[in-house]
Amino acid sequence: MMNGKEYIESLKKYKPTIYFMGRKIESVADEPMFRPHIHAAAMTYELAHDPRYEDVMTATSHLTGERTNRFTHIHQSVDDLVKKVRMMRLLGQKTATCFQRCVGFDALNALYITTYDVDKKHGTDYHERFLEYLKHVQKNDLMCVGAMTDVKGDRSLRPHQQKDPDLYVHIVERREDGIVVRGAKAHQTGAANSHEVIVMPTRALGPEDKDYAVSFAVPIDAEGLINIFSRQTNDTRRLDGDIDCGNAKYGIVGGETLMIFDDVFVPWERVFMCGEYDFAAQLVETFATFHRQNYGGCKVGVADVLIGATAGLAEYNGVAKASHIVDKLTEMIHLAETCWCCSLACSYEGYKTPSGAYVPNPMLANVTKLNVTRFPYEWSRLAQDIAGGFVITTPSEKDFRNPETRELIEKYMKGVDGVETEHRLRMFRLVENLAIGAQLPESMHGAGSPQAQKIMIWRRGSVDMKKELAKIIAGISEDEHFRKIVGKSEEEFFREMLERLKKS
Amino acid sequence: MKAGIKYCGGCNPAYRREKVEEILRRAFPEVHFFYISSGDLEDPRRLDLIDVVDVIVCISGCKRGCAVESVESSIASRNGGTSVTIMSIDGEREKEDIIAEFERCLKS
Repeated sequence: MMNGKEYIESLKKYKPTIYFMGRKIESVADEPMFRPHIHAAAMTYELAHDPRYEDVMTATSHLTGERTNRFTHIHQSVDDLVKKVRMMRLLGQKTATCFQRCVGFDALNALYITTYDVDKKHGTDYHERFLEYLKHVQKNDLMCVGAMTDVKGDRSLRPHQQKDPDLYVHIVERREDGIVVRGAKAHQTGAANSHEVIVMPTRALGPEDKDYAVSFAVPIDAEGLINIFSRQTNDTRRLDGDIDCGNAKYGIVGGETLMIFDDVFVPWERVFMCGEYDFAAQLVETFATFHRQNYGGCKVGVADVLIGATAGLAEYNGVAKASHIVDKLTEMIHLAETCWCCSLACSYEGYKTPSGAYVPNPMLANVTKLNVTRFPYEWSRLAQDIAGGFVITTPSEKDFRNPETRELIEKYMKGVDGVETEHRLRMFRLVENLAIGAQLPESMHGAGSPQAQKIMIWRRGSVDMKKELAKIIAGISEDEHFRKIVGKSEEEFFREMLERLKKS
Repeated sequence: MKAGIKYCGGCNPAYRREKVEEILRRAFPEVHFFYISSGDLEDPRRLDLIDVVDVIVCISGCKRGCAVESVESSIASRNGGTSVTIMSIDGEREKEDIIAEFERCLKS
């Protein structure tokens, strides 16, 4: 297993094609605009070596018996699913941002389960190929980006109906030694600083979409693979110093790219689905279940930091004991812990699949994520309320460092006695980062937008069963247990009761 | 032939679990079906009853599979284990599919 420093060094062995702000990036590991995201991912490596955290950060590979980083592990039990979300919360607390590595982790687990099922039905050998790939990932402790979301073009059209066929990643050539793919994936979290890319389809597919039913893995520096790093709110603040970013060390959300496959060749041993459109929906749903499971872990870890920052600011502002502040902080904690309950619940209700790997309860995983599309907005609103207006009007770090304005800022930005003005500025910026920035739309759209969760919840809501429960209580359908309790039918029971009442 | 039936606790089933039992009882009148209770699974002496059954049908209300989990963990903790066949149902299934699987289990 690599530690954090070794992970950063390992990135120097790769030569990916990445563009940002009009320039081609020469070295990912040395790029100041990428460094915060790299540090956040490095935490997933570093904590695996710390005896205080190794219990959740590592696992024993069921393939090799070796101790591995949990991010490369296939869940072998409900306990593994629970430890996964414990790891997510821990890393959220340690980085206060997205640490990016869960996407590839979830892709590995979803493919493990789905390739097994595909082979069973179609007699293919994807699972064997995938096991070899998984061993490679575990042995080298690689970070993988899970590439699912296609750019999609006209959302009302299916992949094969698009005017431009490249708006979903698809196979353009089948060769003796492999396939050639073209298309693009959007919002690729952690792509710039990953070692590998694992591609999956983004939606249910029909026979006409056969060429879009493709899953494979390539190194991040594969020929023809181009990443364009996305802008974020306030991103260039990281070039101004270490205060204005709020979280200068670990950044904000994951650092996403637009990932383009410009005729990328994939050898057969790295192809895990090639035309089996009937399994595209299963792969998407399994991946989504794993990914939605996470959000009551990682986002709650980040919320823990926000609650701490908000409570700290209330102290610096001299209002910590005001009852309405305590009440609002309590509400923030309640909202965060509710999301945590959801992540734990879907993990504890997880089950074994035919492949032997475990998956969380899909209904509860979707409920987890749907809550995370809402609750962070409320806990962020409360944080903004408690922090006060300075959360968006604090003078810049450059003015704080300028001798001409330093004393004025020190004097007029002072809070309670005994707290340095700089600490107050830093806390305002941290709340700004966590409660106003890109964290919120990430909670909304990461792992799928709210409607995607609602579709899954409705499908699995067992409404017919619920209607039957209602009919029994309403006296429309027979209540067999009531009959046993009272020793007669409902009709007889109520008739006799009314007669007794009339007589009394 | 004898078949034990073990239900999960039924906290939030996604389908009407009783349907499975009804289908099997109707399709296999020659088989003697009886219930296996949690008490049977916890008591090593009562657990010996699994030596006389041909199949244990575990009927769970959802994929969590609590019925098969409780049966398997009891058998695993039993001295010498057992070779009894277990049939696990954890979701809505077609009648023909249930009957075919039970037949396979009886033959195994």
